[in-house]
Amino acid sequence: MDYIILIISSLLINNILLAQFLGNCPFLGTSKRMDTAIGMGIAVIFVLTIACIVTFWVQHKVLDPLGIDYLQTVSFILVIAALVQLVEMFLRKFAKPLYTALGIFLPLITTNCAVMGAALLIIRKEYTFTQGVVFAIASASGFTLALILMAGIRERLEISDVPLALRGTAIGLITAGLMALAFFGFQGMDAALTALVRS
Amino acid sequence: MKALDLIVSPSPHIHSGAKMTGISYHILIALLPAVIVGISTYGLDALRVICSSIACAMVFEALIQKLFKKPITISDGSAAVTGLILALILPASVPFYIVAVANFAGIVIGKQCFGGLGANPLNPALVGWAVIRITKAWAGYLDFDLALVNYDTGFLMQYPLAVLKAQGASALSHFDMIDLFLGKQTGGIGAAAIVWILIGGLYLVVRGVIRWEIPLFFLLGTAALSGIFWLTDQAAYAGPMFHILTGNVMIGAFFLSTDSGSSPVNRWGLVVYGLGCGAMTIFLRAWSDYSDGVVFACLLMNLFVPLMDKIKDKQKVPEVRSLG
Repeated sequence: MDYIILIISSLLINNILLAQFLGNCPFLGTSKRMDTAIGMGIAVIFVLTIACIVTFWVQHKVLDPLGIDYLQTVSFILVIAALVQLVEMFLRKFAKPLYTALGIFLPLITTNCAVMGAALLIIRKEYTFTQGVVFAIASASGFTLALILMAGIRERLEISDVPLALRGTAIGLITAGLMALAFFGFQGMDAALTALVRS
Repeated sequence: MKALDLIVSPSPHIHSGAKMTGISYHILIALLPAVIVGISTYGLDALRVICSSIACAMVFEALIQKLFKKPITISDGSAAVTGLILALILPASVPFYIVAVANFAGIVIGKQCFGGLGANPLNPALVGWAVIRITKAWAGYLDFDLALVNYDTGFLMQYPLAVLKAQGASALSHFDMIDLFLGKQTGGIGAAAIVWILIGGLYLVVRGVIRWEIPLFFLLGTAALSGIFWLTDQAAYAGPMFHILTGNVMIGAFFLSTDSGSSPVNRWGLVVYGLGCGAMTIFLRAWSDYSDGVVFACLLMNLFVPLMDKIKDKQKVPEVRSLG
């Protein structure tokens, strides 16, 4: 039951993009077309989950026993960057169309704050390993959900008469703001659900 | 604008004769009974909010179109409709600047920034309401129990959904369903006049301005999900009738969710959209911080509309016969 709440919470209520504003650059960069958005979403789910598993292991097996907690940020960046390179090589070899579709944005996952943020949040919230994995998958799915919704809206904006000054990224940011406004509707839901399960 | 690959079918093309102006005036006429009931309940304050809201909406639309160097289209009435709908879900006591900010957010950010009429991904009136609701300092203006404490209306001045949220369904026994249906309840200026909203909504359906799928499946979704909740725990959750007859559900089903720019096109899209709005309303009413979830439910479902439009209806391919 706790896992279901964790999934709903990180998918919708504390959506990593629309409630915590992590990972805005790929959000705006890859949401212009639906197929790119879906590809990016799947790549983020894959990378974020693997990254969280690896960083969890790094934290508990390397950093904690050696007492070098202060190296957390540096080592996480290193691990995530190496991982993304691996994914990039993998895609170039086995999924060439996806690789060309993602273009510059796959290396961008390296600096995707959503991946780093989720890895750090798992440590900060002191999740167990299973909780961490569930949190990672649900967060990345929340990212993908927001990305796909955004792509749907932006595909429509292509054919509407947006004022000249606002075309492109500007209207993208306004759309992201309005999406976050709608996601405000979920506020307070995780507390209510937790209370429901406890009672 | 980019050059588009739009497919134009061969002639003849038949125009239905509908114009944007006509559609807007039908909506204004449909809302008139609720407006009159609201003014007769809350007096001049309600009139003040309604007039200032419509005025703000039209002035902002004209100003921003001037600024963006576009033709000024306030005479089509769509800005007036947005202003009126926004006013009807506000309490009668909101000060002028709240109305102005809400209309600015709705008309300028929610509608004109995206290219004006029909291009808005979210219903502009709801964007305006939500901006006020999530601003901590102003949320009190939308708390009906606080906002309407100084009015003597002759009926029980307790916002039913706030009672439900605070005390659970067992505290609701003194609300009479008939009174709720006749609009004798605390709420928005026009949104609380349930029966008059229903009549206006049915007028729009008959006139063909809105399609019957959205209201019907909105109400069905609300009833079905609240029924499930009610059957699991009757002490904590209210029944379907209570949920349909309180708050913004009725105005939501006929006026808030049916905005033509932000609702789906195809039949199955409409069904999914309506059910989603209704069900999400009940989820938010049961678990979120807000006593009434209709506005946020509609906003959330608006986000899914481009995806719902991908559900295509099965079209019959017209048969081609030779004339000989």
